[in-house]
Formats: sequence, structure tokens, C-alpha cells
Amino acid sequence: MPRLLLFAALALITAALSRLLWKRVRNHGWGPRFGTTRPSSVAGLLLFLVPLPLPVAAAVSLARGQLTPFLGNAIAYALFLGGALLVRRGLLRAGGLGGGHWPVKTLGSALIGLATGTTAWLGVGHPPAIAAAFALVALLGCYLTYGFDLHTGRDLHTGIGEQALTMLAQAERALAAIEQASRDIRQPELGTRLRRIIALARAILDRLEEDPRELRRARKFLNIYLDGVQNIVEDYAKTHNRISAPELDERFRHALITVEDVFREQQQTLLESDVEQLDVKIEVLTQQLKREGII
Amino acid sequence: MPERLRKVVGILLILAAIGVAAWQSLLVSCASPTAADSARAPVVAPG
Repeated sequence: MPRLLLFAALALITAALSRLLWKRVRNHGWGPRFGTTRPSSVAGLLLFLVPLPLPVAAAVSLARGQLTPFLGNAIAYALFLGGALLVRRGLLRAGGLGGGHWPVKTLGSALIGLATGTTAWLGVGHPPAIAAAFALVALLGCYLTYGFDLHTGRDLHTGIGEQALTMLAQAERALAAIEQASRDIRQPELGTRLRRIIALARAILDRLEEDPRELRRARKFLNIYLDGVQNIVEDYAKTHNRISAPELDERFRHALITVEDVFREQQQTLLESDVEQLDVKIEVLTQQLKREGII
Repeated sequence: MPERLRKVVGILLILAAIGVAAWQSLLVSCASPTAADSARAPVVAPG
């Protein structure tokens, strides 16, 4: 009976910790976003869920006064958490821009391998050779599931400039903050309008990530509009929860209509630049074909 | 190897390595101290 109670308490603690972790993940904008094709959050969560028996094992070892298994399980769980966070960050960077140039997925996978080896060696008591085999299998599993990103840093340096990367990363953060604040706005009409704005902004950012040469054209959008929208949405979400002011709602609605128009114009400008570029390419090709005597 | 198959194999390997190690560790911790000690102690052949 006391053992059952101990297990129930441990299960509750684990559930509470998992909930906290999930909230943190959501607050940092790591969840799925509106109208995007970002990596699934479920894939990254696997690495958080599978080692969950470890904190329980560490607590039981501690309660029984077994120092080595306790240390092994506790250290291994910390390594698992660190590795899972890094892999997740790498997955998000692969889908968008998480900032930083470290091969985080590879580092995370290495940590996961090390954590598995530590668990098998110190937690279970397997010989080091078997523990190393566990580590290698875990590493291979991470590689096959998430891949490695050893060339990320070099590619980013040569592909987009440092300043452009920073600008895009800031824009991503502003957009994540807008999404977060929009969840606190309970009015359906304003919520729908905000979701449309977020989808537009996301489409513009995706376009800029695909073709960073357009960044110069969209500098104003990135530096002024997104920050401005972030400020008013956050302020409105805070105020709206405390007091009800129809005038404020109306002004916020007008502001959102203006922002939506501006974002739509920005998207149109980028699309028009595509058309211009295509026009130039067609013209060049036509001239070339004429020179060759084909037409 | 197709992408989907690669991911399925990867997930299976993760479950096999991390899942087995974690659950085994929990079982060893919960086992009686004698059993846990004997699981950790090296096996010495008599004689």
C-alpha cells in the first residue's frame, strides 16, 4: 500500500511537470502556427515523452538510498531534456528560422545518445559495451527520424546575410508574440481578422525566407509594421481582459483593417516583383532566341 | 530508403533504445534491493 501511494504521488508529479513543460513550449511559440507548414510538434514531443519513466526511477532510487542509480537516472534525464530541446529547436529552424548557427539537431541527437548510454550503464547496470550499443541505436534512431544539420551554419552564412537572418528572426519572434496575444482576445470577429493578418504576415515571411533578395523591399514591413502590430495587439489583449470599452474595440478594429490592407499591399508588391523578374527573363530569352535565329 | 519508412524505422529505434533503457531502469529501481544488487553485480562462475 505505501508503495502504491508513492507511485501515485510520483505519477502526479510527472504529470504536473509535463504540463509545465508543455505550457512553456506553447508560450515560446513552438506549437503549430496558423496557416503554415511548420514541422509537426508531435514528432519533437516523442523525445520528451519516451524517457518519462526516468524521473520516477530516479525518485524511487533516491527513496531507497541507492546513490549510483539515482545519479545515473537524474543525469540521464537532464541530458534527455537538453537533447530533446535542442532537436526541437533544430526542427523549428529547419521549417523557419530559430536563430543561431549551431548544428543543434546533431548536438541534441548526441546528447540523446549519451543520455541513453548513461541510463543503460548507471541506471540499469548494463556493462559499458552494452550501454554504448544502446547509445548508438538511439543516435541512429534520431538520425533516421530527424536527420542531422551539420551544414546548417555554412549554408546560412553563404545563403542569407547575417543582418538579414537577424531581421527575419526578429520578425518571427514578433509574429509569435502576436499569435500568443491573439489567443487572449475573446471577440470572434477580431480574432478572425487577426488570424487573417497573421496568415498574411506568415506568407510574406515565408516568401522573404525563400528569396532574401526581397528583404530590402520589405524592410519597412519587418521593422515598423510587425513591431507596431505586436505592440497594439499585446496592449489590447491586456486592456480588453480588464475593462470593456466599445470605443477602444472600434478603434482596434479600424487599426486591424488598416494593417490587413497594408500587409495585403506588401504581399502584392512582392508578387509584382516576381512578375517583373519573370518579364525580364522572358525578354532575355526572346532576345537570345532571336540571336540564335530560332524565332 | 523512402522518407516515411526511414522515419518509422527511426521512431522504432528510438522506442527500442530509449524506451527499453528507461523502463528497465524503472523496473530495476522498483525491484527489491537484493534483486537490484544481483542485477548489477557481475556474475562469477563457481570454482
